[in-house]
Amino acid sequence: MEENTNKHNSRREFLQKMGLIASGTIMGGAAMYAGFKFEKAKKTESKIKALSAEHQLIEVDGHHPVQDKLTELQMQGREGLKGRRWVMVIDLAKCRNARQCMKACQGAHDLRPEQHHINVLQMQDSENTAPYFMPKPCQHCDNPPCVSVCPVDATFKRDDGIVLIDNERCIGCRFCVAACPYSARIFHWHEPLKNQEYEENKERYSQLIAEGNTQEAEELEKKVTYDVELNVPQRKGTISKCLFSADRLRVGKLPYCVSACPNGVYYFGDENEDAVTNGTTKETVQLSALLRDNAGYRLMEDLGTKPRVYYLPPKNRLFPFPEESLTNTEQHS
Amino acid sequence: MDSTLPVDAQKSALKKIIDDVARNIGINKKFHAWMGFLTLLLFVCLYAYYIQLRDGLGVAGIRDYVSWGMYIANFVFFVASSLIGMLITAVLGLSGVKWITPVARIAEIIAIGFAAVAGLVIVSDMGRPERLVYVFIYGRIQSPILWDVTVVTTYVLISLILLYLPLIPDLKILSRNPMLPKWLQKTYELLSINWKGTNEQYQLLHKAIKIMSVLIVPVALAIHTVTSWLFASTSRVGWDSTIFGPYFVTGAFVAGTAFLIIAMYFFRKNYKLHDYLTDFHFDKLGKLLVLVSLVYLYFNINEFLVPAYKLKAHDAVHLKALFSGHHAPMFWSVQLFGLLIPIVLMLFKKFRKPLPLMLISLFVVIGSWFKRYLIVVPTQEHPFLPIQNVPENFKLYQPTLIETAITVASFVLVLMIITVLSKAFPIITIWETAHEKGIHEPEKLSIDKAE
Amino acid sequence: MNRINILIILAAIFLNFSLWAQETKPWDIPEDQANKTAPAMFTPDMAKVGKDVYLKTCTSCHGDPGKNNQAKLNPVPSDLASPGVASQSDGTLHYKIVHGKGLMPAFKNTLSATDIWNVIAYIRSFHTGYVQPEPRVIKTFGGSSLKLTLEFLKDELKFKVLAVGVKDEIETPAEGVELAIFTNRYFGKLKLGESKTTNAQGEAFFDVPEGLPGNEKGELTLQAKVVDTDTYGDVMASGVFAAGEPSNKPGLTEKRAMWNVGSKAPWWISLAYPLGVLAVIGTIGYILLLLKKVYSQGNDASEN
Repeated sequence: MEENTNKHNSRREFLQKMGLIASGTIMGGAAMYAGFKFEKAKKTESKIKALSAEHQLIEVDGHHPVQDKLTELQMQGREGLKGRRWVMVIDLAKCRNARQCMKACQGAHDLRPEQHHINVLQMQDSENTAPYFMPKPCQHCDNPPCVSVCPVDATFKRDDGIVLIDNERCIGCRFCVAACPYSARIFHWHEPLKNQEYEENKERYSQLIAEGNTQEAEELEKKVTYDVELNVPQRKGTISKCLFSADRLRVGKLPYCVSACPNGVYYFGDENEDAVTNGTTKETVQLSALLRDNAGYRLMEDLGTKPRVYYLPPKNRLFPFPEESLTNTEQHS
Repeated sequence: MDSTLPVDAQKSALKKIIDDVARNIGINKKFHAWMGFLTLLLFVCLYAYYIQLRDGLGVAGIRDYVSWGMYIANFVFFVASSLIGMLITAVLGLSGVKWITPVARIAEIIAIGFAAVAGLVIVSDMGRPERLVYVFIYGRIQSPILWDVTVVTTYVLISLILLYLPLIPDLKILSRNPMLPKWLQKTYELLSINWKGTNEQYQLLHKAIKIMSVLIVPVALAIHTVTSWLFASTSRVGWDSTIFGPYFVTGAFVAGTAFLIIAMYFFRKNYKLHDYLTDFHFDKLGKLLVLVSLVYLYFNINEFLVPAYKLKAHDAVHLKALFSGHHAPMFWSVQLFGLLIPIVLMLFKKFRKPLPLMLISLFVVIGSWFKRYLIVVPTQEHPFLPIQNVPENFKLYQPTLIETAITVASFVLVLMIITVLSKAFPIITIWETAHEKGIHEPEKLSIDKAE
Repeated sequence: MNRINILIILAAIFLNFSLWAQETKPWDIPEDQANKTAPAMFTPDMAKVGKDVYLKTCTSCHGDPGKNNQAKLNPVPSDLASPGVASQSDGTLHYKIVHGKGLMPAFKNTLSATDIWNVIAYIRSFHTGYVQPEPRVIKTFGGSSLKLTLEFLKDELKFKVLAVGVKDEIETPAEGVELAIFTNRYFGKLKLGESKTTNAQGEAFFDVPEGLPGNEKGELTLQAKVVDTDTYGDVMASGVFAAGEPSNKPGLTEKRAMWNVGSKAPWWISLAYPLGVLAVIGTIGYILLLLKKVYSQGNDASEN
């Protein structure tokens, strides 16, 4: 009898303690619950009415058919190209600020004019040295500070050296932005440029699936499927940055910016093959020789980030720099 | 201890303590008005958050270069303020400081309020708040954010336990008090887990409190050190500092102590606790604030003098912006009105009286908030590479009304938590006060009285 | 800030002018290049192959010949059916395609010599009244076609290329033919060393470059090519030889690192983090145990 009451009491006591612990997690729990609800609400929103093949009005989950595909592409995107170590060489002597690289990049990745995966900067290292133009993509560091700090593995480094972003994973904390010394990362503060188009396509896609029109749906599939190697469609509240055009590399093509340059600034290739190919002349040269003969260097070597982008110094520049140096517009006020 | 006090005297002394404390428990008109005001304010501010959820973080002034703004500064401030719980209960408590008895519970409540809401402040800074759960599903243990989430949750939990443990005898004492509504009495009875006030129980309780007081020290140090690592783990100018951990922790003691003094002043006035929160306590806390401020000043000198002596290229740009540039007015106001002048004033006894000390603390708290802003924002305006080919508002950070409102919401939440906790539980510990006054076995005496 | 904006705009305008001035520099084509003629008479077959190449590489800027639908660039690319183009010599067109200028890319590394002449054959099919000049005659050796064989001399660490002229099924060594060897890389062909000229035996020897990475087995895919493709056409020989360094460098993500995925975190973090968490949870658990004791103590007390 006595034992019984003790047992009973201890259970009650246990429950009390559970209550105590529960109250401790209420704050976090509430936040998470709100998050779940938010996503759930979004999901139900994306349920759409569609006519089935039998001419019946049915409700279709707008997300589902797309999402299965996502994982496949994301898996592939995380693996990288076996045996490769991509490397870029930028010849500063040849850059004359044509900005074709920026244009091509923004076009490929659906970016706004002020969003740069690659940005041509006007540099001047010290007062009496010559100004020069410096295209600055993500450096795809071998010791990437941005990846180190990511809490959810949304940005990651692949076997072939490319640092990518999975915007289906990104929680938008922007720690990576803070950690990157090259200011290479951008954030979607608003709905991305082509969001409306994407939403429309998604709706149409679900409709086609519902109608059983697989042929047309397949054509549309590419437009609604998130490609982690292209980071398109871009998403509000997530990070984007230069991806070394991982989607193009997979099919044997040079990156968008590299191919677009009219001035032969960019070389791109595989460090494992010791070869880089110029995007303009398509001439392939030996990487080690190119760096050796032109005194190639990397940005901010002292930070230990080990970039995969090399620069050739802006000597014997092939363009006249404007008289009025623009470097006084730098952030350093 | 005056062990010769007659039982009747003990009883009447205890009755006064219980009455003074119990009077403030429960809901009254003032509470309704105050909570009504806070709720209204909260809803207005939550509308701002709704706008942010709908339109994206772009409604705030943060952009690609200054991508951490007021939210993160506020988060750091909240974590900082929450450290006061550890300073009072653990550091002073373990070293046997007696005067903390009536202050400890207020400190613990403040700690819970700020630490709990700090987690929500971080959520308000997320571009994808609905993916918060990913941190638990896909968490990378290399990320300081994961450590931060871990230690902040742990700190809230430990603070709750440290609030609860010393409450147990008080709950028992009050569980038969007719001044409280029946349901509250029942809840207290339930929460007091069979407390009888036996020696064995007291031994167990003291042991538990001691263990938790020890445990909270490393956890509290961890929560603010890890928060400082969110910055120090990057190579940015102004953040890339090895003293950021202690710099943040000492700064936290300054902010927390000042906030505690303000809270004490209001509890003393509104809850009529002049007999418990005396001038003596304010005097002591004033001295404590001077001490921690001096340590913080020392870290400030280190943090700015060392790079200013060398003037490395990027450091120079950053320091110039703080000392004589864009941020100079705020920087010098914070250093002068938030640190230097308060230190000097509080050296004089008459400024450690409740009212002047509360006013000084107000300056210190406001200074502390802007200090966090100055740690977070200016650094990002000076990256290693120039900011070019972007609109003007990318270059200099300008907080918007919406993010200000969301920040206000977080303060409202803290005040609500503090208010509710201080209304739901005795704000002054009864049994410890009773023990100090030579009243033995307050549990028995109070029950006798009720029966 | 506004003043700075204006400065940027002014500078940009200035810069554009200087670029524009460079862009419109006239073509400077050496006379011997301009007088160059095709290696063979254009045939409809050549034009047909040329059309395919044209659609792939030229249409995006030059549009369809005769339709005046070129890309809107500065300067505007020519419509290749226009009289202005028709009046230019074969050699001039060839030079422009090979070397490029300004926005017109150089195709010497992307199109084979044969394809470039095929494209010219295609362009010429739009020029009414065009009469092709006499094709260039190969004078340097007696054969009508050239054949290359590529060999790897393992002991001497050299590649040997043998060039023979074939005439009426009789092979004779071709002397004085300039040759180059290339190896396949991911985005193009890497030329190995300098080009060499064949000796009296029709042989040319190339050093194996030191430390050149091949595939995992160290194999290199090689091509020997005639440099003077105008004269000989796209003559080449290829083969796979184990002449390179095996490239089996590990993937970059193999080692434990701060930036790697959670399961590849540095071991001390993998250890310290869970241990710390466990210690805290354990202590809290112990506190709960103490509370349980407090509870049962209370029971005992009430019974006494």
